[in-house]
Amino acid sequence: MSATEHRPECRSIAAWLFTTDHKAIGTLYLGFAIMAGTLGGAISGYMRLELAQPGMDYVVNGQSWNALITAHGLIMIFYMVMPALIGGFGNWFVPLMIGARDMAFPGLNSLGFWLLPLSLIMLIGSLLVGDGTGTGWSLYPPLSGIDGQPGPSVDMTILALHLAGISSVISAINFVTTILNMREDRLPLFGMPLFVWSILISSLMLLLAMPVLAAALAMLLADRNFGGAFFDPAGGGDPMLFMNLFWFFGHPEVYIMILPAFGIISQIVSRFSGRPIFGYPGMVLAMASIAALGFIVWAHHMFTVGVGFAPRAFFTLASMVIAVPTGIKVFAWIATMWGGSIRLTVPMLWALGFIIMFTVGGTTGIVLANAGADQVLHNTYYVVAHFHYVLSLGATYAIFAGFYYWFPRMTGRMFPEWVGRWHFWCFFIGTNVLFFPMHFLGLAGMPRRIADYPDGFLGWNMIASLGAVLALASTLLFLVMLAVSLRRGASAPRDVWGPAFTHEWDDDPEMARPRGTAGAEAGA
Amino acid sequence: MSKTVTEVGGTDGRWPVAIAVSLFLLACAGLALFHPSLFGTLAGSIAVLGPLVIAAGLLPLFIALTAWSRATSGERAIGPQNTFGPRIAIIALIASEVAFFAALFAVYLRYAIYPEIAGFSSWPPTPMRPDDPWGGPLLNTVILVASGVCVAAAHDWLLKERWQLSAIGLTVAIALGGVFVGLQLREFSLASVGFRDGVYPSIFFLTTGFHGLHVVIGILLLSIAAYRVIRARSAGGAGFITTAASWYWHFVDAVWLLLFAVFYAWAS
Repeated sequence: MSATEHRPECRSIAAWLFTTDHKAIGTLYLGFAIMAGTLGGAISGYMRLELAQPGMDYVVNGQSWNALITAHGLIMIFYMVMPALIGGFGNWFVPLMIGARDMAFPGLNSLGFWLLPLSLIMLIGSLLVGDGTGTGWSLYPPLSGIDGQPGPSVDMTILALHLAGISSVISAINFVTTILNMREDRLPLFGMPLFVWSILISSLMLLLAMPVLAAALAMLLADRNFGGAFFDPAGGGDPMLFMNLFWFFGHPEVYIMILPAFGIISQIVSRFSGRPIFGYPGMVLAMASIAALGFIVWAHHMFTVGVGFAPRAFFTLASMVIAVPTGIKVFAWIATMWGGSIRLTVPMLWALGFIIMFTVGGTTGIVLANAGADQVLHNTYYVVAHFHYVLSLGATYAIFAGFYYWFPRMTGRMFPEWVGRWHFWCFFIGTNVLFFPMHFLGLAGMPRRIADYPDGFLGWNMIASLGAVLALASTLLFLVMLAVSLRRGASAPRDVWGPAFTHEWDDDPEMARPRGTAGAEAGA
Repeated sequence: MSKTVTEVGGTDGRWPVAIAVSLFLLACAGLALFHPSLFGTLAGSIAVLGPLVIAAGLLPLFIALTAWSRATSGERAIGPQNTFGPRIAIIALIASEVAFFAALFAVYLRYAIYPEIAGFSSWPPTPMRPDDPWGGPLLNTVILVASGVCVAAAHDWLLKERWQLSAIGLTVAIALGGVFVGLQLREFSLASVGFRDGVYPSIFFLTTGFHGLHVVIGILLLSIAAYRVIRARSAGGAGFITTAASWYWHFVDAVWLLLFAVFYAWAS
């Protein structure tokens, strides 16, 4: 069933460094994601400070502004959301849910984790050396070329992404092998919890998407340092080709981030409605079709760069079709709650917040999928609002939902529920006040990636920055609560959330013990 | 380090960390090659080394991988003791490699099918021609396919418990692979155009170069397999590495056939 063999406590730094235990590595991933998320959040706080009023008050110039937005985006995607959802919760709970003793390749698991902090060091270095990487996370040439950004920063960013990509591919191979080969007897694929399905599908997407980014980055690196002409018109190269390659990776990447979030929400909605998930096979197939469609919609990121009429029609249609399986998921969550006995626990609050806010982000996604509408909205704050609703209010809500849900299981301790509620409501109000006005700013024509703006945009920007203060304050509350709960939290019984449908809650005396100081080391 | 921790999961947890650090050092070596001035007083010696910096950066990785491989005879997947797990892992690895080469081919095909968008009237751009495909490249094709046959035969012999024949097959395949790499290097050194001469040589050399790199990795895997077969003097003692290496080799083989068809035969 679940892990019953002796599991050593990780008490020393060396023990954390050399551990190959999936739970310990999951804890490392989560602690790393919390630290990276704090860093990325601090950068965004600084950016909202700059944007609170017109003028360049804090940032020296556009280049350093662009370096900040690039670092914020890359840190949140590669070092916060993915490590938390896939590395953290995936490592902790996929083996427990399928009844495996550990991941299939514990050593590769450790390798996959340790590449990430090293990669983050390289990325932070790129921010500190020279002028920083002022390209945005999409790294388009010629801006990212040697003439656009002559310093070492872009090369360091590329190398950091190569390391992170190796880590992703390694952990994807590990998850696929674990899930396909190590399920306990008689657990069929279509009996697996939806979270396990979501990790399997995300891993398969990673296997096919990440190498394409690696190839594009290798060519960019060759253009910059070896005189290649892949994307350099002077040698016959085509900069648009990089956009195609990047978004062939980049669009699947957003589903790689959101599918595990779907999985977590499914577990939580089902548990706190007291019913199995509605339409289980449909939920699995919806995720599979989102994954498949995710690979054929990439050019909707490039509607304004001169894509022809027929491709624009195709990519508009294909992008809109994704609303169907996504709608299936949202309606299945609602149908699960329908007639269930809903308990508004802290994780359930976050899950409900996810469903509502993700639906808002998905709806603006349908607006942006229209090649015609996108002609106007492209590169405005409307786009910023859209992807923050699916990531900052989508994926991040799912991370918090999963964190609160599994916190008693991971630490043997309970968090004070009233703090969790305060955290949720402050973060909910804060992020909405922060991001909703961006729709208006975008519709009014405020461009993204610019540190300054005309006075007319002051009102909504000031309100957005006030929302950021509330969101960041609630994150601080979360960090304090985490530090206190890890040391002083009340001992949590295994049935703290009532009867479970999945195996990670099975009784295991070895694991029921509070992790105590060990958890605090990685989490704080 | 206390024993209990390093033995968790049956794997020595120190080697993965060492490999992670080695990969980071390799990235630093690349950075040193591109921007020596970043490394302060070391800049002078880096400039002297030139591309050898990469070799220096590869050294720790090579040592760490060898040590891990020797310490554990390759990581045994835990879970059901069959080869299903490792097989899935190798298939997944090869799938990701396929995606990587698909991206390179996509770039080539984009320029080959629509040369006019990039301002060329023909592809390859007029003065440039790949080698006559029916000379050296055809020879290389024959050599690589022959080595693939050797590997397949070696694998077959291994399943039939004929480890001596298997070891011979693997050795011949390794030798043929070595000849292939040598001929490729010769073709590169005799080429009339260089990497910097525009987009055609860029994509040509990058794709064939990455393929050559994969041939070298395949040779290393086959060498480990041959070493294990000979040392164990039995079919079972070599473990899964023979199957993994042979699958990988067939993948490298298949990529070359596509390369030959698209980059050489079609282009001329």
